[in-house]
Amino acid sequence: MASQCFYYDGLTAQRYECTIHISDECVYVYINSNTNHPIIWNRNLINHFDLNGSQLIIKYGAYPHQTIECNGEDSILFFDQLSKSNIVKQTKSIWIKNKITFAISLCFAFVIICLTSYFFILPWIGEQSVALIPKNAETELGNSIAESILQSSTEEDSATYYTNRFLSKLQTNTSYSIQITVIDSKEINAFALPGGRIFIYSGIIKKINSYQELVALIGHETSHVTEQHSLKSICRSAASSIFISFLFGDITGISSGILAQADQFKQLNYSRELETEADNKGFEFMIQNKTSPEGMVNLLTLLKTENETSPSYMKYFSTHPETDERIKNIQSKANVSLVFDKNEELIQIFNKIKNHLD
Amino acid sequence: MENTSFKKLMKFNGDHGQLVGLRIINNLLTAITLGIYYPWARAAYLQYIYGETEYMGTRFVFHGTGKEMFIGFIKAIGIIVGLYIFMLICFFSQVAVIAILGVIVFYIAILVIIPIAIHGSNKYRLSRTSWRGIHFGYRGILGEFLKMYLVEILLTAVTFGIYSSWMHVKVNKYIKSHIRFGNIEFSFEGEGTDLFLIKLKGAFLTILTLGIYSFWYYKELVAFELNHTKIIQNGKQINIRSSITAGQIFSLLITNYLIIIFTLGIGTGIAINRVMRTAIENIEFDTEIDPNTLVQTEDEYKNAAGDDLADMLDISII
Repeated sequence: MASQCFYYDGLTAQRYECTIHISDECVYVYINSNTNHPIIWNRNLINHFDLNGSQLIIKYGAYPHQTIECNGEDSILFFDQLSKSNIVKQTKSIWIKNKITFAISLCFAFVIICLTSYFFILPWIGEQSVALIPKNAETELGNSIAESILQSSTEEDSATYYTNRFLSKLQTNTSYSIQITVIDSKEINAFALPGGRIFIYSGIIKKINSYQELVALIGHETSHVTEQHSLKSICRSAASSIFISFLFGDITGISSGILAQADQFKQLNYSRELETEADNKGFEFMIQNKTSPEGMVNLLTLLKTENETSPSYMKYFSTHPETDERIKNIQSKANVSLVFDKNEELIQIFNKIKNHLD
Repeated sequence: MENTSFKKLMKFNGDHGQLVGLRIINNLLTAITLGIYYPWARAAYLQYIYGETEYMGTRFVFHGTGKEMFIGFIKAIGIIVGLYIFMLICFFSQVAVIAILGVIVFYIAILVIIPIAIHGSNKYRLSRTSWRGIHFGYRGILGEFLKMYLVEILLTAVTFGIYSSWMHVKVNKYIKSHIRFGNIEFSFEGEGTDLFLIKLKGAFLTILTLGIYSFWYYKELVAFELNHTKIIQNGKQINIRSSITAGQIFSLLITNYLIIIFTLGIGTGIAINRVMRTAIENIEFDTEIDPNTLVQTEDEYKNAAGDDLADMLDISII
């Protein structure tokens, strides 16, 4: 399609179809109805020219300006011709020409910045900010979560009592005051809250066969508390979700829901790292308490057997790393074959816990 | 009804790829420059929106530049930040009376800033918009508008919002009657009572139909705005009419929502184009203006502070 240009004199809305010719000093405007006498624009007095999409707009003189509007193929050509002059500085021409390269490199830079912030910088900031949270706030947070858990589940009072007695015989080496609550549930699980509260489901205690396994479990959960794992997770995910809502600020509701779900998968990976760390610290905890580390291998084997009987799709969502890997990790440790004398006191308490749950 | 005499004279030419690209570049540069690029981004966006809109085969031109908007942006930020600092100083004076007075002054100031922003934004936006070289203009007088606006706000407050329909109409009448397009004038002839009834009916039926009526409600609001807006050239009145249907609004909103979600927000530009196209192409006119007798009358106005304030306060103008 050929280009179409219109001239407006700035005084009325009368539209004149025209053709233009750009020379080094002037712009010649030939009104189609009167081609003999072109309107001559001195290029020094061109007020402004710009490409708006594919439409070229040239303004001439003082306000109210004379204007030329061109549509079609030639408008970019005209724009280039005008840009070559140094009279009107047009930075835009640089990126109009390399528009695609410019846009792509900008996108690329942005994506890199976003990804680094999302995967490294923000989680790191989130994690560092944990240090700023005072300990009593952490405990308060843990307590309020604990309260809401207790509202919807039943506590096994005697088992709770004896498990805490069991704990009191162990050396925990933590500045947090650890408090264990046993909850009536068939689930094979246990978890730690910020500030020192640990919840153990009766299901897992029923399956445990030796006191060493319970020491392993408590060691693992205590490490979660001491290393502030849940708080770190919360802060990391808060930092990420703030970033996501910043990035997609203009959408709410469903989309942010979807994004939040996607975000969960990343947290899952993070949890795997934390589980391995808790395993390692739990292992040290066992040695420190003179308990044969074989208990941890047995505990993990128990989890593995239980996992295998659960539906396979659950494994995908499991926050614990492939249990085989965890077992291998523990077995690879130098002093895994250490054998300590049995602790009669702990055996007695352990049996009491078991009795109260049967 | 003489349905046949109304014509669609406006068109929106927006191109999806172009707007999506523009938005990506705008957002990226704004993010990378920590927000400093925002005025330029806004200028580019407005140039796009106005430039893609055409009337009688000619596109509008938005002459505003990033530099003007940046200067306005700085002024607007200065005003808002100044107010906050004032309030905080009062607040930390630890004298109860001063603290309370500070908060009161702050809210009154915000209340006063809103009409100032509306006024400034109208002046700037209209002055920087042209069609076939003829500029729009806004001839409202700040003192007059401010006084009217504050009285209307007060009435709205003491009637617990019931008066808002009458306020809306009155503000609309003032603004439209002060818009000029060369020697063309505008007016708004709606009545507050009619708007109130539309809102009342809308609220009731929307609740009764569990939200389904909201599309018809929206259609009625658009029709109220447009059908009562008149264009006057050389003493002759041109009538406007909205041809938008509830079905159009429904499908527009639903598909836009899905587009935004499934493109994770990147497709917002497509959604904006679709809204603009539906809004623009459903405006109908009973006669064309006469471009040959349309003459330039308005002065140039380059102060974007009001427009930037309005943008910060989230007041949408035209």
